[in-house]
Amino acid sequence: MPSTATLKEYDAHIDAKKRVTIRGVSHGFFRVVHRKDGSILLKPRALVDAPISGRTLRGMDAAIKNLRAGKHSKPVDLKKLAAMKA
Amino acid sequence: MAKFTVEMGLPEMESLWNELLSKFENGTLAGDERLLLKKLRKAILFLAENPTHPGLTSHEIKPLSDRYGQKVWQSYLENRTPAAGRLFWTYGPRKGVITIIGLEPHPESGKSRGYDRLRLSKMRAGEGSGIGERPERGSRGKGK
Repeated sequence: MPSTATLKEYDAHIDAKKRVTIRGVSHGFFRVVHRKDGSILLKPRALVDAPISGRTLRGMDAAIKNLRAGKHSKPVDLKKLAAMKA
Repeated sequence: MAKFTVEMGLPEMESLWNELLSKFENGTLAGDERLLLKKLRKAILFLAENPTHPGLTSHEIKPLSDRYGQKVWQSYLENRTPAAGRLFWTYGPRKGVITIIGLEPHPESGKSRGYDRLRLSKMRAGEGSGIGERPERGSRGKGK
């Protein structure tokens, strides 16, 4: 079955708050395209992780390089941390 | 009792952590630094206890795993709020150890607001969510 095949077709109406209810959707986010002829197209979108800045990436590159060279910090004192009131 | 020992990556994460701790001890933490330390403290304690803690929303970042040739995980500093801060960590260098290698947004980066926005993919339905898998419980190093 082609990915654009029709699965459902029904009439919908605008409610008092100018909303339309879409039934049984599988996605949480959509790109909405309003066409000149009045049709509205919803294209599914998925959340992606926010980008990582160059600075953080460079820091991680160095951390991994040092990790492989056997350089690492002292362990975080978890007891002290648990007792801390930040 | 903590399952994992937590260490900081060198040099950035260690210097940031030491700076935060020394400012805390001296009572010279600024408002945003105090908030960051509070969130980091909570996240580190969760990580040491259980890296799969629901509050951390830990998941693998595949592009970073590919970049470094070992699994790199991301955890949120605030429950379900990636914009509030994200920790990047990896298992190792020894069994039962987690090393925090990065923090985003970087506290000294003036462009941090640029990463607060929600980003959506251009994926079509059925092509996957783009979100990495969750770490398995105790996937490396069963702790001490």
